[in-house]
Amino acid sequence: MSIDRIEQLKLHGEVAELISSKTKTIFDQLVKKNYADCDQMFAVLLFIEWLGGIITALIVSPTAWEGVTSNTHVHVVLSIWLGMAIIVLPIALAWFYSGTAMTRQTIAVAQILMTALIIHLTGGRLETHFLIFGSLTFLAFYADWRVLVTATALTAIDHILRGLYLPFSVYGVTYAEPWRWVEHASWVLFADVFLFRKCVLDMREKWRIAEKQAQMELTNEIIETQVVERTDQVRQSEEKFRNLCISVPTVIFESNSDNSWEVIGLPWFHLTSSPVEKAKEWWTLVVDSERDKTLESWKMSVQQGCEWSHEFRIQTLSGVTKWVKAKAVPLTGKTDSDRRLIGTLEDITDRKNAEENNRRLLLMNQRDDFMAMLANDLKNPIVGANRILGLMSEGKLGKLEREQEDILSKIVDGNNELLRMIQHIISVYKYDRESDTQTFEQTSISNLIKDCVAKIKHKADEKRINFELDLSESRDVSLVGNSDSIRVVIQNLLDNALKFMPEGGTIVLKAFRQGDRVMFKVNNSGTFIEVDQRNKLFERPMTGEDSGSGYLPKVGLGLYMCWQIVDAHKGDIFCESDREGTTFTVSLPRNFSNETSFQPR
Amino acid sequence: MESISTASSATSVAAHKPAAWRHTVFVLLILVVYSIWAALIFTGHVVLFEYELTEGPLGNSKRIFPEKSTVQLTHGRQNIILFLHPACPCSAASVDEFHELMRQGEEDSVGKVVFFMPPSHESEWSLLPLIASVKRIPNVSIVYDSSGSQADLFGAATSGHVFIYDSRGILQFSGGITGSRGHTGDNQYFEIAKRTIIARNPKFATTPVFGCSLRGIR
Repeated sequence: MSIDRIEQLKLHGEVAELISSKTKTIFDQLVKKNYADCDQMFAVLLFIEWLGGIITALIVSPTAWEGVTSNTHVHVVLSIWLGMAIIVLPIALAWFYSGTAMTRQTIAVAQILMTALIIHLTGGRLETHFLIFGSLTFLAFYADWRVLVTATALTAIDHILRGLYLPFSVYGVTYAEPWRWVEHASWVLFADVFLFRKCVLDMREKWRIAEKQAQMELTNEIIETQVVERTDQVRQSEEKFRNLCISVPTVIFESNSDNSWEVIGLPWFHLTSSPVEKAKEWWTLVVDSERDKTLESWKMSVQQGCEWSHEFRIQTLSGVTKWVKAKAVPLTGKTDSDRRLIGTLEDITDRKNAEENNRRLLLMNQRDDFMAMLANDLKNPIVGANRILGLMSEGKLGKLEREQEDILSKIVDGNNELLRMIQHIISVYKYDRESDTQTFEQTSISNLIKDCVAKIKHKADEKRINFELDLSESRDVSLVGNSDSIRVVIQNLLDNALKFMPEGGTIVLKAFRQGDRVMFKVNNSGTFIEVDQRNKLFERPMTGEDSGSGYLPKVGLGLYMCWQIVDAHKGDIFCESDREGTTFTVSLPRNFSNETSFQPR
Repeated sequence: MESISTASSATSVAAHKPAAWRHTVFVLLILVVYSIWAALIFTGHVVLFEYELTEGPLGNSKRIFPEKSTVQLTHGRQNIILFLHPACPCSAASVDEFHELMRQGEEDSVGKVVFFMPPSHESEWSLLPLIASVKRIPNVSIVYDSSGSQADLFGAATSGHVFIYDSRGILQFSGGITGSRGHTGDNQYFEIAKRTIIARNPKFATTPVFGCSLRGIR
């Protein structure tokens, strides 16, 4: 019966009816049990009476004599066989049909018959007649007045018949008044009055007991139902909690009074690669250098009953070091001597690594800013020096010898080179800073190439270097990109080509469309670049690298910057070199925005 | 639906038939068992009553007190003589009735109880409580009849046989004073004996005797 059903019954006033029905059932059970118990009792009693009859016969009239010879007295024989005949049926019924009306009525008859037999065996002694009243009292144990009626009726009939035909056997006289049986029966009825009342009172008492038991059982049933439902709710709650504990990546633990932890398997195993038993000595997983501090912090929280929050490293059984963050709060309702905490253990290794990377990045940015600032600061004095050197070369500060002019010219060239390098450095850092805010538009590659060529034309003329432009195929070709950035790429590639091209050489620029990409190539017939050097062309130059002879050291940051820009446009840049010359090829997607988003490095 | 209902009721009737049949068999079985039970009990009681109501043999009573008897006649008083088998279970009832009879006779009567006491059983029977109970009755003397000759002289063949002789030695009553074997209590035979004692000129009366045989194989 559910709680809802009980409440529903209460509302409809059906509880009383339910109790009444249950009372009836329990009452029937009590009565039937009493009947069955009495049946068993009378089965034993009849057997004892049978034995008693035999013993009585053996004592009172064991033998019958004829002079000096004797034989067994008929009383002995009859006490055995007649007694057995009387008791066999009621005992069998008590055994097989216990609790039925038929059984107890038969028992009542048998009890009266046995009483009569015993009276007879004692020679009709007056004292033995009291057994009649004893038998009626025993029969009253049934608390069934009908049994008493049967017993009384049988007694009366017995007295009537014997009084008529064998008065000596019942009254001890060979003649009796016709109504003498009434006197005997009246005494029996006198006893019956009280026994009947006792039967009725017994039944009322049984009903009262049944009523109380019914109320108690109903109450218990309600309580048990509530307990079952509450237990089920608790079980479901526990299951949810357990599933939650298993499904979340965080370890949930509860501490014991000995500081050990109890955890739920899977998250703990994922975190520590160790079995749950290891949680009982969780501090052994803490790295040596942090163990004492962590344990001390834990114990203090337990002692003070306050929240515990601590980050520390653990060494997993697989040898991996992990950062974890533990948080725990004290459980309520616990005494100081048995204070426990419940908490979580979270893997924060990724967060810690990210923090470390951010810190390093910050340091790097600070360094880069410093470098940019330093480069900017270096540029001004060189420019100033160049102006003074220019004045000196022009003879405005006094006439110079030929050799002095040559020296000044070399110094100016060196300064210019230095400025160019500084300019590259500034450009790289500037590009890094501004890459987030770059805009993209339709850009014509051929126009950009022409502009760049125009800018360095005077330098090429000084070295008597020719440009060959093959832009026919790219006339209608444009791409989506940041034109300033792409201009820097072209400018750098032209600068390098011009720089390493011997005098009188030719630089070939070619731009064309290939599928959905735009290609342009810068070819010079200058210095050959070794394969191992080619692989490092687009890397960021590191401090302390060889700055000796060759192409690479003098390139500086220009090609690194080119790679940065091309890569940000999802393009490719590579270098091919042989004894005939060197070619830099740039491949850019025509519609950059359609392909992917811009990701500046 | 109707066909289903019909089928259902048919099934119910079919199921009901065996149940009714079993019930009938059960009732019949119960009747048979109870009949047998009643018959056995009835038969037992018939045997019991037949045994208790079977009279013992009566000997040839002597109307005149036998002179040769070792039992002495007390002249001038009624002599109430009781023959008993000391080991007979019926004797106790006869002694009770004899005691009552002696009370009725008061000072006019003397009692004499003759116990059959063969030498072969004397050591055993002489210790029986019945003899002690007889000794407690006033005005009663005990005579032991070792050979049964005294019983023969008086004509007593059954334990419990009472002879009442008047003061002259004339037999007034011969017979038993219990209603059946071993049953104490008022009975018509006792009443006849009592009247014999009380009446001054009674008619000779005889009654059946219920008890063990005094003869048998001696």
